[in-house]
Amino acid sequence: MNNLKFKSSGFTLVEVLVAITLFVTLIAGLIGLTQLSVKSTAASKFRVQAKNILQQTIETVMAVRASNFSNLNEGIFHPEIVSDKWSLVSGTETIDSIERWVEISRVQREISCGGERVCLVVDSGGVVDPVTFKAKAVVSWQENGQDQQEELESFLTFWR
Amino acid sequence: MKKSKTGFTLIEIVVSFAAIIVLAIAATNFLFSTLTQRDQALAESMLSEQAETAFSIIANTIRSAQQINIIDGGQGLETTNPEECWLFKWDNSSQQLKFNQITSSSCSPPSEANQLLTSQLVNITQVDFDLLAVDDSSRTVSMTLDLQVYRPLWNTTQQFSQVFVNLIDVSGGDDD
Repeated sequence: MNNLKFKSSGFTLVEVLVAITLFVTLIAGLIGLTQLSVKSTAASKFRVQAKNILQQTIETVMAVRASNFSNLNEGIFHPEIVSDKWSLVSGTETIDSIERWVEISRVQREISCGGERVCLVVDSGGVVDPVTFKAKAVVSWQENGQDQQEELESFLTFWR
Repeated sequence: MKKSKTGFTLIEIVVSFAAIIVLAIAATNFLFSTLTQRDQALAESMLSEQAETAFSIIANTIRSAQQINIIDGGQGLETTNPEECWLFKWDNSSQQLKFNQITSSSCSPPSEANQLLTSQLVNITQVDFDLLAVDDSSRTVSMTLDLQVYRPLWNTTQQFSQVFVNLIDVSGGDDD
């Protein structure tokens, strides 16, 4: 009687499936890592640009203050060159997908500060200081679908 | 007679070769793309670092300057204060922004700039200084720098702009 024996020396279906799954997982991981690196490089470039615009914005506010303190008013502005000088114009401005603005607000100081010439600034419950403003420069942009924002604050006083 | 089959069939060899080639191409591409991204990240970080260095030195001199002159059609800057005088000048041939400083009372800005402001690894392809509100207490210098860097797998040019306010009142009086 012929003993018909079927010898299988290749891989089983399970082995092949496991190998393919491992391979695909590894490749997907590597691709994910590459994409993450690309996104993070782009984001870092954008962040540097935003930081520059932010610094530029607060610097122009100092220029407006230096030009004439009485030019300052409460509100939301953006800097623009008007007649060869920096001015604050109402509203926000977008530069290369980065929105920027300056919030100018009054500040309050402690009502009494024990004989000190200049009292400390307080958030509430003080008296409005007529010769000091708070300028908050803000830049806002989208990074991977998420809103990002950076701020820089400075006090602007009547004295230089 | 029994035929022994111990080697690979032609099909097996062809399939194996194809698989190896595909994998090798994918691996090489991945390696190059990773190295390129590394170069890109390095290039961009070098650019922003160098721009920041240049801006911070120039900001300090502008803030305390009593006299500010823009020279060479916006490609150079001279500042004078009672203690020190500075010259910043773009050198087209070396593609660098150079400076020189004299520290003494009643000095005049140096006539030649011989020191590099930024690293030699970064080229400065364009410099533009602009003075705003010349006679006002809000004298402001706008500065634009075009920086270029070459890496083996990536080269890039980026423009950086900054604004610096001069905090010294030209007239010496109260500006408000």
